[in-house]
Parts: sequence; C-alpha cells; structure tokens
Amino acid sequence: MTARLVLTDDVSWCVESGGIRVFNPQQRTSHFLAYPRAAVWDLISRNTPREKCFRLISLIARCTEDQAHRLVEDAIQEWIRAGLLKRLDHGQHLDPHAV
Amino acid sequence: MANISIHTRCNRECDYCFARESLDAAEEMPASISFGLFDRILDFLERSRIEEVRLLGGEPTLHPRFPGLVERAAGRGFNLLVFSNGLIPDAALQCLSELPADRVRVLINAAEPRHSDRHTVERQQNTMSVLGSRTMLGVNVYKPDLGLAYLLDYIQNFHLVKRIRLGLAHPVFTGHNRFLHPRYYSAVGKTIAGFAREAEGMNVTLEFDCGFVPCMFPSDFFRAKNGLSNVGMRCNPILDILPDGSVISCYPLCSVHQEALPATRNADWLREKFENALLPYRVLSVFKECADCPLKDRGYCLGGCLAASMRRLRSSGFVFTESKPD
Repeated sequence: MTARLVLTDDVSWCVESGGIRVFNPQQRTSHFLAYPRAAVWDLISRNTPREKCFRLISLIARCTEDQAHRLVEDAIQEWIRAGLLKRLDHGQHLDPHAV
Repeated sequence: MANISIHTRCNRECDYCFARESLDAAEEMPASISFGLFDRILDFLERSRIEEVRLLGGEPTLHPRFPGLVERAAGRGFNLLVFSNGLIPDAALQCLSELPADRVRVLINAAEPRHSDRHTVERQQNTMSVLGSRTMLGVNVYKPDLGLAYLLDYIQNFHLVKRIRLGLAHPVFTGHNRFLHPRYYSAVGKTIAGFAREAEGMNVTLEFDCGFVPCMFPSDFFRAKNGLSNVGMRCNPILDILPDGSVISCYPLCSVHQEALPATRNADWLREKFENALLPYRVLSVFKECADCPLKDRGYCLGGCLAASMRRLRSSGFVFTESKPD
C-alpha cells in the first residue's frame, strides 16, 4: 500500500547556505534542515521517484541504498510529526494548487 | 512612527509602487479617509506619543478634503510629513505652502527627468518652487542604472532641504509590482557610493530607508561621512493605517497580517502584534549567504527587507509516494 505525501497547507521553504529552512506558519515554527536531510527535502520537493531518491541520497550521503532508504523514511516521519508534510491516503484527490 | 494612507488613488502610475495593488484589491476600501476615522487615528498617535502625522496614499494630496485634514492635524499640534509624487492640486499646494516650514515637510518622490514626461517634471518643479524649504526629495531605486545627480540640481535650484531619502523598491510579498531584485543590490550600492561623494560636496545628507544591507556598498563607503550608521538595521513594523481603519505592518507585507486600529491601545502594542506574526520569518534574509554572515550573526544587519526575503520561499511541487505499512 502506498500514500502520497504533500506539504501541509501554508508550509513553505527556501534554500539557505548549508541547508534548507522550512516554515510552518500555522505552528509559528521554522526548521533548519542540514545536509543530507536538506537533500532529501530537495529531491522529494522535485517529485523525484522513490527509487531514484534512495539512489541519489546514497551517493550524496555516501551510504548504502538501504541506509539511504532508512534516512529518507526517518526524515519523512519526522517532518510529518512536525506538521510539515501530510499524507494523502490512496485514492484521495490531490489538488495541484494545494501544494 | 506610523503612516496614514488617506487616499487610495494616485495620478502617477509607477510600476514599482507597493501600495497600489493592495489598495486596489480591497473592494471595500473607501477611496478617501473620513474625518471621523482621521480623528480616531490622531487620538491613537497621541496615545502613542507620536508627534508627527505622516500622510501617504495613493497620492495623499488628492484627498478631496486634504486642507481640512491638514488643519485638523496641525490644529492638534502635530508636525506633518506628506509623502507626495509632487503632482499636487492647487488647493492642497496652497494649504501646505501656508504652514510654517518647521511644521511641515513634503517628501517628493522626484521623477528622473530623462525618463519622465515633460508634464510630470514641470509640475514637480513647480511644486518644489512653491514649497521651497518645506520640500525634501526622495527616490525609490527600482533599477540598477538609476541616475541620481538631478536631485542635487533640484536642491540647489529650488533651495530644498539638504537631505535626500533613498528607498529601495521592495516587492510586495505575493504581489506583482516591479522591484529591485537583490541581485542588483551591489551595483546599486556602487552607484549610491559615488553619488554620496557628490552629495557630500554640497553638504547634502543621505537618509536610507528600510531594506538596505551593508554588503551592497563598497567597504570603504562606511568610512565616508555621509551617514550609513543605520544601514541594515531597518525592517520593522512601520504601521501603515489604511482608509478603512485597518493597519498593516508595511505595504510589502500587507498580505501576511492585518489588525484593526485599536480603540485604546497604542502603537507599541500594535508593533508587538506584528512582530509576533512575523517572528517565524525573521530568520530569513534576502540572500541565502546571509545565513553565514557575521554581520547578521552579530546583529549588525537584519538581512534586508523581509518581504524581499520571503519572495525566496517556495511552496509548490511537493508530491512524494511513500511506502506505507499495510
């Protein structure tokens, strides 16, 4: 089973020197993502396919693809907990203007 | 300080204007402020111990009862600062010319003659001629190759205040106005540094509006006399009060947060509300390199205009399919 991840409403981000800063105005928080997590954010923000994402992260973080897989999944879980991402369950309509 | 937008319309069409879009977009917004609201705003300024009434628009002098507003403010002991494009109707011009020069200042956004129509230039020059020492010149830098020397000619020819207010054309966050992109800051900084030397020769001082950053200027510029002490330190809620009684932090950030004019509270209370609303974004700066800048780190620079910084934000395109346990 799969789920699609999208940005939580109003969340935005920008590239900073050394990482990515993500803003969650609803919670009035900002999060600085250093590399390699910043690379994960960057790749999935570009709709990079899952397998390619794992492969690229393994190159960026110089680790195995299994480790990269874990790194990506851990990062995603953390961002969901922080309210930066939300899941759209299978079949749920994805509004292209909502993200 | 707090600015009062008393009129939404303007008789110029500057494409860098950061007020027009927000004033035009608000359908319920009256074109002109009422006397009743104006009086309540004067009460608010008094409560806030603000001694200067700063009128802007649109073009504030187009308010059909402009002399009446000026009379009300002056009658309560306020000094006046009018932000004008210089195309001032006769009645308003006469009213301003009759006020003592130490009670009123008209800040004219002086059009660059070589890129402006003759009618605009002539009317601006006529205004300067009538208002003389009540006039201070200002310019919004919206392109890197803006000429500035004409400002010194005006000061000399019309005996104007020997101070020039320089502003950067900032973007309206979520807006579409023309603005000076930060990639041109360094070129503008060099132009201003050269102009500052010319101005210094005529004892003309430069004032820097919000959003300038120290790194845009050549390093030797900070040793020059022509005051740069507050460059980089200005991006605070100014408080712009609109003709419907709503208050915004500033026009470029008008979409982020609005408040109603408080009945009993003062400007400090309002500023705190805006600062709180903007706080999560204060870590942002106009350049991504600012994150490593010692000037920002030590608090010598705020990182430029927050609205320009927020234009760097992205919020689209994010779709990822994750595997999910059954």
